Amino acid sequence: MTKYIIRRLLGMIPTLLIIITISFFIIRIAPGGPFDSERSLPEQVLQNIEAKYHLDEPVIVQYGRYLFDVLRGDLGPSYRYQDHDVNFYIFTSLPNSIILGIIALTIAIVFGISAGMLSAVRQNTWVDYTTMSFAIVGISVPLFVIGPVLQWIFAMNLGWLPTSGWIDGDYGLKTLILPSITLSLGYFANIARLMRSSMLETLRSDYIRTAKAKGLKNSVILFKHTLKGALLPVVSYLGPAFAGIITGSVVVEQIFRVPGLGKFFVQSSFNRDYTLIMGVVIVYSVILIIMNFIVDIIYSFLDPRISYK
Amino acid sequence: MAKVKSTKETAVNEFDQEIKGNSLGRDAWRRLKKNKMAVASIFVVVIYAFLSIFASVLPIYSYKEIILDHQHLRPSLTKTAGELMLEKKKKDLYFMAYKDGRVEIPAEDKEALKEMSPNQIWAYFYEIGEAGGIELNTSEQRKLDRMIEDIETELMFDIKKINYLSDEGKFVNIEKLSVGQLTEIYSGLIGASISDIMVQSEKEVTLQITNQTKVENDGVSDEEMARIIANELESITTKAKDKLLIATLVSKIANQVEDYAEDDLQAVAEEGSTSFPLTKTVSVNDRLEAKVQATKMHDRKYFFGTDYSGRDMLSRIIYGGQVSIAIGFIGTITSVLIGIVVGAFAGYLGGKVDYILMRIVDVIYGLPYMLLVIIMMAIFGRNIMNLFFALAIVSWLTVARMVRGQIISLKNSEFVEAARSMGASPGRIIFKHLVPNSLSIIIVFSTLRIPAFIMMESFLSFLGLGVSAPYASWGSLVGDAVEGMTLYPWRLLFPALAMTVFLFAMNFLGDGLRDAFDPQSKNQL
Repeated sequence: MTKYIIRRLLGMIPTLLIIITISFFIIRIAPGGPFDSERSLPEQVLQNIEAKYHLDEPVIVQYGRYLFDVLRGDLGPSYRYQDHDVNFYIFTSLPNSIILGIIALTIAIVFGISAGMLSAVRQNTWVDYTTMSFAIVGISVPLFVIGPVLQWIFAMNLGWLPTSGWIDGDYGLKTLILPSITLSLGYFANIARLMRSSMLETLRSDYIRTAKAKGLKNSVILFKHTLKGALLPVVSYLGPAFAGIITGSVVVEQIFRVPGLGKFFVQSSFNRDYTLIMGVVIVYSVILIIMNFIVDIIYSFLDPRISYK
Repeated sequence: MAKVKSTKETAVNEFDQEIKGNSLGRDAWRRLKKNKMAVASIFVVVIYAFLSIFASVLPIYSYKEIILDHQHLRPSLTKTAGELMLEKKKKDLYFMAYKDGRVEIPAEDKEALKEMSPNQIWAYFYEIGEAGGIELNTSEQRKLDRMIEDIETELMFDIKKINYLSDEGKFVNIEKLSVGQLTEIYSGLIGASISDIMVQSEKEVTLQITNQTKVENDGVSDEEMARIIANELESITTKAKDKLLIATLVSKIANQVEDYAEDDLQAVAEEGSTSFPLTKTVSVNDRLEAKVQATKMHDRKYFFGTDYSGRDMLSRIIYGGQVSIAIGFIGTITSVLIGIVVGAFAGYLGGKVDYILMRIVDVIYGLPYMLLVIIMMAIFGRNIMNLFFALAIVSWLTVARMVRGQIISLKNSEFVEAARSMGASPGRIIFKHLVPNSLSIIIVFSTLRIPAFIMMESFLSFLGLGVSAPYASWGSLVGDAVEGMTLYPWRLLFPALAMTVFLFAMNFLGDGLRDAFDPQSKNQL
């Protein structure tokens, strides 16, 4: 087991290297630079700026320098904002995104699993139909439609919740409700559907029949035997779900004006702020890789049949 | 049940019934037909497809025609644009009258006003005003009267065709004339010298090419841009240039003709006895005549309202759907084709090829690829081709994995063995035997892929990184609408609804197809 974990940890390194390399070179081959503006700068000024940011060196030297800096945990200076470096911007906005993401993921997992279980146990009753219809809504409606519609209903017409803002503002924790629901709905729906189908399959399996034959209580069978087996597909879905939540948060932060990393990402892509874009991509990728790693570990705990060789 | 005996010898079972072979496709179709939601979805998808394919011949207004007077008109089935403009103006004036303190309202209503949204407040005063409770002062009344007059008389011209009496005595469409002839006609119309017109139109064409090049090469440095433009101007053929010149001249002449028509018809409109729309042949001079359709500008009806520059939402949604659906379908087909080729080779050849291809897939799979797409869109410019390309690059992975798995499970079966022993090449075995046998799974997957693709496209357009104006897609329409959704909810509601219904239908259809092709999967995701 320990060996497996170490091997997985080592396996992350090439993935991360590839991400850094791809985004570095996509950005370098792009037409236009961060210092192109309406007003053309004098030649000398431009040269000085380029020298300051080492843009006058050959690309491969720049790449080496960047790689080395990233390994030390330094994401470099921002090309647009003079006051602080990329690290500062990322680490002031990242916590907000993480809070939003974790809440959304928790909602999706908790409600998704319970809804899926419920509709599997009560298969072909109104409970099942209602849950599954709700789930198909969650899958079909894109989150940038759900967001504004929820805003319109709950914030503008009913006035129960604030339209936008963040926890440090006047409305406090209330600001979390709409963005996290918006972000979680699609993943809730997928988890509920997955859970339902795997639950139905597990309920028909032999070991459940054995458990019933032994005369175990229904609740024990359901929560101890079935749940563990049925969770496997849900756990393996968590990796893609997390990737989706990261991407989705870019839009949700835009709609609800959350001061998170996603907003920075979109802004810096428009500004061609190369170092900031790459910094954000690297941070997102690290989070994603770590999440996938955790998911794999959980999976191996749940399913002893997996071999670690 | 006894069947009509066919002349061919058929297999018969013990009850003398004909045994009919059933293909997988027919079997799946039979099961699909039982699924009511799937059948309904097929209808919905067909309707959407029809609307998008025939968008250009449908009787709808142009999706990019800007009429600033018609800004933000609410949707209405019965009222014309003119009536709605008037209503908007009146609401504005009544509210101003209240602000000036010229309107007395009960105290409890005053309290209630604080709780109301702007739209409700306007509606409240409009009601009072229409009942005669608000007196407008003379200057306001004059403004209103002028507006009413404009609404009744302002015309719009659609020039169908301009004909020129040639030297042979026949009328020909001016688009078919040469640059020289057009210059002559135009100089006759405006009275300028032929050489001046030539110089002017040359300049305009150069400008057109320059602008076009600038848009296409967004973001390069100034010197680079100058070089590209010079190159572009040099390399253009005489034929292409003539085409541009003709287009420029024709539109100039059309403008002149419109002025003539306006002079001709405005008086008719003001007199008020003729009914519009009116199609008329206008003779500009003895050799030039034009077929013009005149409509009252403010007689238009906007069933879905208008947007911030007075464009018809209905046609924007239809054209937006065209873009979204096209990207969904073409993108899916491209990504599925790439996936099939990669997956089939990896699966069939196995060994090192398989290992390398699948490691590549694994690594790309681990990337936050939507973020890479966003970077690509931001950097390489926002146009439909880039968008489509960026999405297709990242979305073939799942198909590749799926096809590989399918091929591995099929490649040792007897029919492949047979083909191999007959000397079929690997390419033939893959594309004639293995791929067709995994087609059902691929079809099902593709159907579920289309809505995902549309969602990705709309996601980018929503962020402002996809389709840009004057083109529209569902995502960009929703994105534009978010800003003013309290005041103009229809701008959000209709595109969102159109999109949701289509995505619903595609998802139901995909689920239905999957159940039909593989009944055992009934309870899986």
